[in-house]
Amino acid sequence: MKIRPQTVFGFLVFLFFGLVIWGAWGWPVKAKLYPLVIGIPMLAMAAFHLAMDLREGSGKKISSPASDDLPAAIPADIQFTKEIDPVIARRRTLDIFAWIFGFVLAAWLVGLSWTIPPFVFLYLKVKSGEGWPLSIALTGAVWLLYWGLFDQVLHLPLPEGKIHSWLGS
Amino acid sequence: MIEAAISGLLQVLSWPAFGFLLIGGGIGFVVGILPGLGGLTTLALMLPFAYAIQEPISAFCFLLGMHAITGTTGDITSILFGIPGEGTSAATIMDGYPMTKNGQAGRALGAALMSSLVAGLEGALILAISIPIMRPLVLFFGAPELFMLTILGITFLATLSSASLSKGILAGGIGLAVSAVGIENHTGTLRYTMGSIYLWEGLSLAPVVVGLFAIPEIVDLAVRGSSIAESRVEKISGVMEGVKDTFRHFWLTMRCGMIGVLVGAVPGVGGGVSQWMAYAHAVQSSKDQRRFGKGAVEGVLGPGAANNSKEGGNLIPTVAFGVPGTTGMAILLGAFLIVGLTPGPDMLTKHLDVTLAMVWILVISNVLAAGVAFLFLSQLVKLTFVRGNLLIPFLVVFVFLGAFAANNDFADIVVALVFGVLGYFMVLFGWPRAPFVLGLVLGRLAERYLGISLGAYGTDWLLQPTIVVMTVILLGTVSYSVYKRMRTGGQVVEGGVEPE
Repeated sequence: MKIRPQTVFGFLVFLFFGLVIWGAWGWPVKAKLYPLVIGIPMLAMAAFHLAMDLREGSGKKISSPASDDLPAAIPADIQFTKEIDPVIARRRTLDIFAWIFGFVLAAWLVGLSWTIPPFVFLYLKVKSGEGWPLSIALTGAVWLLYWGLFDQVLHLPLPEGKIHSWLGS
Repeated sequence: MIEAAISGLLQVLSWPAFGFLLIGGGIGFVVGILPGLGGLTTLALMLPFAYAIQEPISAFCFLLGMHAITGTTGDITSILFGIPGEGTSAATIMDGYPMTKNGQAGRALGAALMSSLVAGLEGALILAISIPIMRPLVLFFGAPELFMLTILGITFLATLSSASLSKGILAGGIGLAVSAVGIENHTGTLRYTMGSIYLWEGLSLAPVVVGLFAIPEIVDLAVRGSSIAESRVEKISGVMEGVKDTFRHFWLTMRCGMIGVLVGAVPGVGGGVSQWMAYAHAVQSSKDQRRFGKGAVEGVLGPGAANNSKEGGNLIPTVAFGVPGTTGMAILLGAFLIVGLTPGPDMLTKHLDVTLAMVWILVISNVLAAGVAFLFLSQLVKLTFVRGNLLIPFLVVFVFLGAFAANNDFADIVVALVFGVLGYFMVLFGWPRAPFVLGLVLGRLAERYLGISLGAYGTDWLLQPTIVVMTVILLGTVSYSVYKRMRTGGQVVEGGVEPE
């Protein structure tokens, strides 16, 4: 039987509620009441959901809702673009996550102030292939907005990067 | 109440509150037009600013002003390009886009904007009228009823925001469980803190919401890789004709506005549904139904009206009971807690001026949005050609700066990243995010109400008549949802549904 990615996600949710209950078990009654009131029925529901998902994965056909069923047929959340070739979509997804993780890692290492301008410029110039003038202008605009709003108006105390601490500065 | 209404108006018009209204409105205006950037994402992105603003009316001027306007301007891209600027603007496409193809773009835009304005004012008026009616009801409710209401709210949202009932309820459950992180007030027990001092205070709403909503949208923008509006629109004319259409079909506009208010006031049903219901009403009440889908102006007036009036309706359960009707209101509910307000009885007594200020914010932002849109329509359309690639670095920077602004702690950035990844997988696998946010927002309140109920009544409160009625409603909602899915799909349907 092929395990589908959504089944793995469903299993992680099941595991999450298992951990919620397991973590709360030894606490005083007042502390564990709420987590258990939530955790126990949710664990049961997660198990039911997982069972349904496994059943569906094993080949049992699940029908779609009727299109005239108005409230159920209108998604209340966004749906990812489906017009793009899945292989390209997957590559672009990994690509953008790499940029996002790279941003956070750089912010941790050298601080937000030193990360923002190079990140914006590199994304525009290297990743998007924009021209020099536009890349420089937009980098300047982001920096100006960041400096004006977060530094001058909100006085946000942005942390130094870990490298600064390691170097003892 | 009149005194509180005047006080609310003066506070909205005072400085810096009015300045925040203009800034929030300006952001909402642009965001509503841009198809790649949702109003919800922006609301989530801007939520951390509530920490910096702190003063409740200024914070609501900024956030509610922005939220109220995105729906109005979202209709512009629906009409011109057949692509909803907002998820809730989809029904306007049905006849708005055919009108554009028939060379009546200006008329459709005029009709959508004017009907939005008229119905937006209607929604605000109904919200104001409903306050004295809701007050005795809300004051009658004690901790057991309020606890049940939080559970009911999450269940409503869970049953209607996903094709899969179990996914909706589980998403709400995850939010409720995550809200338990931190020190338990009575015993001092550290719950799920994993040895981290940062988690002692629990997870801050802002970094969670910012990550959960903004990062999946950034990923989708990157995957699409281009601007959505690819076709150019010729000169826009005939706008005044559309304005006149609103008054030619005035009662249709008012009825659809009322549909927006009523549907918006039902927790969990959401803005998209009210627009479609208004569209259905416009079709059903027409003598010649064959015109619809081919460019009937009534098909623009109906959804345009409901799209804006629903905000007034949405605010009724949010303010009075702390049970938001939509994801946007769930995020806005977070703003209540950030600025130190608790939705419920206090909002209709002690903080009545703040509640009435919200009515004024809706009125003023609707008038401003319609006025500016009429003046700069042709120029605004050009915004839709901004490429996604140019927006992404801006968004990434502001997601993490916004998250950091919550507590000035780098851990907030990590939290935003973690919940961004979670949000991505939730969207990918069709798990609705709205019940999760609602669970997180209402979790602490639910625990407090549960504790008070058990402390005051033991388990006897479970047999109180109001609780029994609410339990029946809860079970009825879940049973009906299961029945409906079984009827439409043979059994409980798992997996997402295709967008309309």
